[in-house]
Amino acid sequence: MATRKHNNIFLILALLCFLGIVAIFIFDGYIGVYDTLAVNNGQYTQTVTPDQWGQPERYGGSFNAGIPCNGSATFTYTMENHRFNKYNSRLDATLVYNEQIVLNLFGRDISIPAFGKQSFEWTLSAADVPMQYRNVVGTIKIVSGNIQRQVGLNIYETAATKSASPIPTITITLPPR
Amino acid sequence: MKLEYILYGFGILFCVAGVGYLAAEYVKYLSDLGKLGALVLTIGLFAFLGKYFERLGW
Repeated sequence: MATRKHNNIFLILALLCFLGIVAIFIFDGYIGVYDTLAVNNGQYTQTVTPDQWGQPERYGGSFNAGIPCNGSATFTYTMENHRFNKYNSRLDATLVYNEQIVLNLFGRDISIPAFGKQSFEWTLSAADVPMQYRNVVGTIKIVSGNIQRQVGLNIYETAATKSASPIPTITITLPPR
Repeated sequence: MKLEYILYGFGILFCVAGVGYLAAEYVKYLSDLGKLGALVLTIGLFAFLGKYFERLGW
């Protein structure tokens, strides 16, 4: 009876080790800094979740947002600090075309308390983007500490803006026969 | 009887392969400290299981 009880201790210890491994996976998955980006261009909201940042290949490889050329988009960047210490860093968001910064969208020192959450918002109006970048895909770069995110940005023409700009008339004068 | 053992063998093999595949997938997302902790606990798990079966007379 005593030996059997002794044997069970080893089995219980083995089970505790297994539960410990499971607990490590759950705890490790929770701990960290998680960020979500939501882009609202007035027509729809596109959201990029932490899981999508982590495994872009499962979600098409890259993330893109579009703004109609007469509109604007609101970017809401939410950071969740699932750590025991405060998250202090600088958050910068820029609009980049051909590796050149065209616009600084956001730039601020941020501080998020332990297990806290904070949202940052900025607006990009298509009118602020120089004309030569219309219909050219640019990149919104978001950098904070070790976190670097990129979202493609396209400023596109809508049916309304296309009809508003008249089609130029070309007059061809044929040479006399 | 022999067929049963073959089926058991296949069952165990698939279980080990499945658990191994899942572990390999999930370990990729663990931090270094988490990996170390999981390794230590895995060693402990097999050591205690070994001791348990040894005491049983296997």
